[in-house]
Amino acid sequence: MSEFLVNLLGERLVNSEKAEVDVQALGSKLSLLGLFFGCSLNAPCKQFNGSLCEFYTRFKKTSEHKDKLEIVFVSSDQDQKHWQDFLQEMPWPALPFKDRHKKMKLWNKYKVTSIPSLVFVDALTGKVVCRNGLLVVRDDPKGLEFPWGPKPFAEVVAGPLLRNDRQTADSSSLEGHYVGVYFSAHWCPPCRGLTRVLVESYRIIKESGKKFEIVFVSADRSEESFQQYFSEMPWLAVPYSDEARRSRLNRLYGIQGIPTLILLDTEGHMITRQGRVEVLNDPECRLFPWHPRPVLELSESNAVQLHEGPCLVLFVDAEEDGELEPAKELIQPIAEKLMAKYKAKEEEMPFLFFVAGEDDMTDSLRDYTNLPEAAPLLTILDMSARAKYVLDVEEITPAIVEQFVNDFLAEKLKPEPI
Amino acid sequence: MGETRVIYHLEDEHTPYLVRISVPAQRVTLLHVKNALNKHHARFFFRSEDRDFGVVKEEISDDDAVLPCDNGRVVCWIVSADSQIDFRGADDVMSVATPTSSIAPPLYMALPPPPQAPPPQRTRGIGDSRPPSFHALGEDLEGQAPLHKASNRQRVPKGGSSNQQQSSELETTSFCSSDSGGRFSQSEHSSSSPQRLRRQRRRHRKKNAGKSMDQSASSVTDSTMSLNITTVTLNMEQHHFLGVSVLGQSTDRGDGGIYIGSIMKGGAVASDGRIEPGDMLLQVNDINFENMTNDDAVKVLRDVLHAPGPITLTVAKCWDPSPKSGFSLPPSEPVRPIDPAAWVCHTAAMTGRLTPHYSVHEDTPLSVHSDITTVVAAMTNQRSGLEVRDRLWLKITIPNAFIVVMMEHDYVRMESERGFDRMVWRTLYLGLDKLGRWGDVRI
Repeated sequence: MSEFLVNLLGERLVNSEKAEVDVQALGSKLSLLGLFFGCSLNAPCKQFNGSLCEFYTRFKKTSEHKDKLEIVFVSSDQDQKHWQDFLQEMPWPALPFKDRHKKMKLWNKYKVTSIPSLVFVDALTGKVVCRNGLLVVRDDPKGLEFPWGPKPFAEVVAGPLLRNDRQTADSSSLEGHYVGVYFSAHWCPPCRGLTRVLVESYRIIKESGKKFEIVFVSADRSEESFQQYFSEMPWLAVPYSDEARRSRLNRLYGIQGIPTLILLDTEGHMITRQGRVEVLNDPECRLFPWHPRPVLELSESNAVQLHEGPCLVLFVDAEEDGELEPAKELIQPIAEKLMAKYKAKEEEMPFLFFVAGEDDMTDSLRDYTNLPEAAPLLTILDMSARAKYVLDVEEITPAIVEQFVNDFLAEKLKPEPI
Repeated sequence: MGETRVIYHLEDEHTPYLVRISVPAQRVTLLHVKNALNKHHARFFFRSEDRDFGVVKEEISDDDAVLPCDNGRVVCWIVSADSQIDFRGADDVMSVATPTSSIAPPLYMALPPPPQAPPPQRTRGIGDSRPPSFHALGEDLEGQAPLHKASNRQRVPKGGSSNQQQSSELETTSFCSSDSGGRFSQSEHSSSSPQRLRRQRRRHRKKNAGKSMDQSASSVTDSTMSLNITTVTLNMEQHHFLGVSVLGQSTDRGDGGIYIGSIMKGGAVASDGRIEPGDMLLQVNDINFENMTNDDAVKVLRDVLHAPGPITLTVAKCWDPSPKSGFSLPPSEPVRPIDPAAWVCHTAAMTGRLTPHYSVHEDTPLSVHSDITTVVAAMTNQRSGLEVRDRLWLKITIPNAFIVVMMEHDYVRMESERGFDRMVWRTLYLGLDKLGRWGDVRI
């Protein structure tokens, strides 16, 4: 039953009293596990640790679910003394220092990108229940909303929504529409840039007759900033004063950075988190509603996704026209098969599929990752883990690609450092 | 002005030579140079300007052609007629002796011989008339030829692998299989799958020193700000200075905010620890930077710092996808401080004058007392001797940037309003204009 937990964390954890904690025993009563990623040398982590301690102690004292939650500290510390000292301040167990190599796997599995980070996962299955534990600690200090799991969009957004001409609309008017949930703020320069593009895209999609609406969820720092920013937008917004609703929407989608544009289908299910990249790449909105494509062509606008997790990249020598397309067609069936498999499991894809031709950006990527000078070249790049997996063979066939993919998923491949 | 100064670079050498030709600059021709140098079987590339691309090397082979010159000065590169000009510029032609020369070869462009009527004297003022959209391209001096399309690249296979002989054959094979779409097996694959990608040849690409990606405009759209906003109040009594350098970002669409560049040990910010390099500054005390230009924001910041009392800074964390806790320049960035003294001596020896030869206003030599904007304008001048090019920092391309390490040696004692002497870094304040310059301010 708690095999998953043992696989994830190992057999034993350690607590501040240097005592061992048996993971099997722990797992048998837990329903929710909070993974706290942090480092003793990082001031924001220390600050968050303080708030988390308060939250935890109160929860363990007053909540009816107190035995169902446990937090485990996963450290990025490289120095044992630092690690030990930090652990002393914590009332929960931690991944043993000698097992710190496991941390990378956890980072990748839960797509951790910065510290401090707190991710709540189901203790039985390991599925992410809430990505943004920091918000939970901030907004629900009494822990009343345990287990802070996902709720349907319609439920979380329920309430009046504004237009910048002072009119209001009820959230029920979103029914049957494709919705773009737009997390943005005026103080953020990349956000302002995206808004300019989005205004155009919004107009194009509406004019083509599709049922589409955008809901702006502001991360502005004041009502004035919000008003100023919202005046540029032709769509709906959650009222700034409704801080709770804004925060719950943030938490629902695990928003950690802005700008983020989440695309939902007419039933409120998420189509893609990469709305920003899609909109920028497709100014004429021909591919709306941007269902995730199995294979992408690597370009400057989507290269940012390389940092978000492992990516399979097939580099080809695209000097002569026509090598990029066959490459895409070669790996597309494999990508589609994988997509279907993970969709059935209701899990996200373990990695994205890219083909990369020849341009300055691809060249500098190859330089940066120190790849051999060959084309075609099949790789899996895991930038956040600073690892690469390279298959340097004379010939690339679908069979070879599939074998490579399966080996990676079975963890049989040996990573090389970037 | 009855003579022309000709500065010429010989193939592999770092330091150029100077020769004077007693012909007025407007009339000096290629033949004059050939005779003066006694080099008749060489290829000559002259520093010239293209309206769209900025500085280019113009190959001139017509002996009677009047040379492009600039204030009585002609700059040229001389390459032997036999050597192959590698358009990628980096490995093969440039010798190992000059890892990063400050006057690196820009675009190679061979222009046809000029028409009979001699062209007017080209004026200086690089960059003034350049359209902003070409800004990033034109200023790039490090051999990163942005004009490149893939078709221009010369593929010189290293080591001549056996694959090469078969390449044409293999190419046809792979194209054949892609054309006959019916042979794609969508569901099951077998080991004899018809579709395959064959290794055609080993690639040989230019090695880029920097990772200069694209223009600054789309880099702004690519970065992400964290929602993690931190407010930090610093008690300035213990630490007398903030200890940060501040960078401003500007694009042609307006100012993109000010960011913490680096944090100096011993300063108030360093000892607090919560503010990190790359953080964007949103507010100081109760003054919000949101609607201010970068210039104004920095002025406000300096004003607040000169007043007594604690300082409250509000920052937003910048999105760094890699799980490292620190930011650093890309490892390929050669941060080599230039010794100003040696540099001055060298140019003095070359020109017989004490002031830097490559200054914007030749008649007003620079000194410690010069107005700061003049100093900086001189530094950003392509001929200043500093490596001025587009640089990649935190995934943001900084056009026209140079490493300011050398300025650490140039500090000024100032009496502060707080009534005690302190050494402060010389403030370098670049006017942030619409072309997207970065300013580096040390406070």
